[in-house]
Amino acid sequence: MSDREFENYLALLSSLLRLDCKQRASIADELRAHLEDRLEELLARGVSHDDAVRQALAEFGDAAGLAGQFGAISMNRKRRWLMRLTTFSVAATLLFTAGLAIFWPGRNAAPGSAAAVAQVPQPAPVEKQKEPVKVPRNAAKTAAAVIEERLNQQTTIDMVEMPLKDVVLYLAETHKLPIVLKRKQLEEASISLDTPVTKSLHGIRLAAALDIILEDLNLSYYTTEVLHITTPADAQTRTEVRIYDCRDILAMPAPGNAAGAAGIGAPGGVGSADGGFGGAGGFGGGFGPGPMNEHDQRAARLMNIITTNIDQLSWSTVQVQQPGNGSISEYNGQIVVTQTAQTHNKIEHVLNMLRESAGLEVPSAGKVVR
Amino acid sequence: MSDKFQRDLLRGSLDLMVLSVLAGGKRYGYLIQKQVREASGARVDLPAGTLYPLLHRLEDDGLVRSSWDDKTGRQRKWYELTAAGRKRLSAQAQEWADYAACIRQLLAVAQVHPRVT
Repeated sequence: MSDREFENYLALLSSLLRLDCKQRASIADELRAHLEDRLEELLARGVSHDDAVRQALAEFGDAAGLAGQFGAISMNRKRRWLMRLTTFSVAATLLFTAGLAIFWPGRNAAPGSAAAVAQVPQPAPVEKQKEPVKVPRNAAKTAAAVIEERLNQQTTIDMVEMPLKDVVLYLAETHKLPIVLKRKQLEEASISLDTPVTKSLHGIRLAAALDIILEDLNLSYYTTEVLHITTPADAQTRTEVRIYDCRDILAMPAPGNAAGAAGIGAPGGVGSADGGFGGAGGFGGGFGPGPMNEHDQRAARLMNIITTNIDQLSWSTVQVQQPGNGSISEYNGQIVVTQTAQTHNKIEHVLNMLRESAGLEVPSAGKVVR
Repeated sequence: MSDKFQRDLLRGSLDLMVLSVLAGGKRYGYLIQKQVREASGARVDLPAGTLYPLLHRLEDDGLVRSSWDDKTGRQRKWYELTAAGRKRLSAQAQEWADYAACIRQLLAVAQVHPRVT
């Protein structure tokens, strides 16, 4: 007999434990036995089932804290190993040096050995000092770029009636992504932090998973240095300008050379182009006087692909009652977009899909300039 | 019955408590918790969220070892003292006795005479 709330708690805990499967399962089994013992005892004392479950869980404290404690233990274990290894390698270096000193050929064996002992071990510490310097340089990537990168990571979600706040905690932990739930906005929209979420998603991008989960709850997100989960109305006001360097896409070889290029190819491209992207021609009007040259035509088509395929109603150009705040324009192959983070993400994804299907190199984030 | 002990007072002695309970033989987490509670007249409450990480740490330090067994009708992880654990227990017990004696001495000097239970 095991309560579903116990299973949820244990699943959350397991997901937060950075241990291998066997260790996780072992901890979950051990804690499950305890929870069941405790539940039985409380029930025998006449505590109601719900209260007993709650109390048994409360005695373990929050899953993140507990996972942190178990994690710290395994960290210590690893650290001890590392220390042993380091000690070993230092000892080995010294021994090697000593050996070198003894067998070093040369007339002045004695001074030579002294010099060797003094010098050879040095490269190791110097290299070690270099490493920390390298890390901050990588970390100099802006927080926003890191978030973009995380949003493009693959994720796997298996949750049964998990409270929204735990879902967020889980995603934040597994993707090392700071996520904030905007309580006030959620309260005003009367969406509880405990709203149960049931989802099973495998091998999709985190951004897509978030879209799916949040859409069900009628929520949205935007990013700054952290990812904020909020109401769509609030997110709509948080637009940001990003510049997408699309010179590579716009310079794609005309259809015939590469099949994948059909999408934005020269005017009158393969039939599937117009069919697929729905009347690309209609967009031309607003772009400067005179007949468009080939570059402008391609750019107009690319922008049309974006505005008709991604969050259609969010663009200010759209002829509806309440057009969105989004805007898009192009200069020399750079496409400038004002949009919410969520839409930006989709744009980036679509552009990369275009690149992929055309056999272009897909940038590892960074081609998008903010 | 008096109140629970202060947290600060407990912090340094939880290991000792668990080791002492295990000196009585193999136990699983739930039993250890129960025994500590009973032995202290409910003045020491070792929350599950503290107990299990503590047990895992003791195991990591080689002071206890564990094994799975379902002879009680439920699959449970049983802990028992290792030789090193036994050694640690007697060393810590000595330390505690010395510490208590030291405090008693100081209290006597201060002319404070707490009730001995």
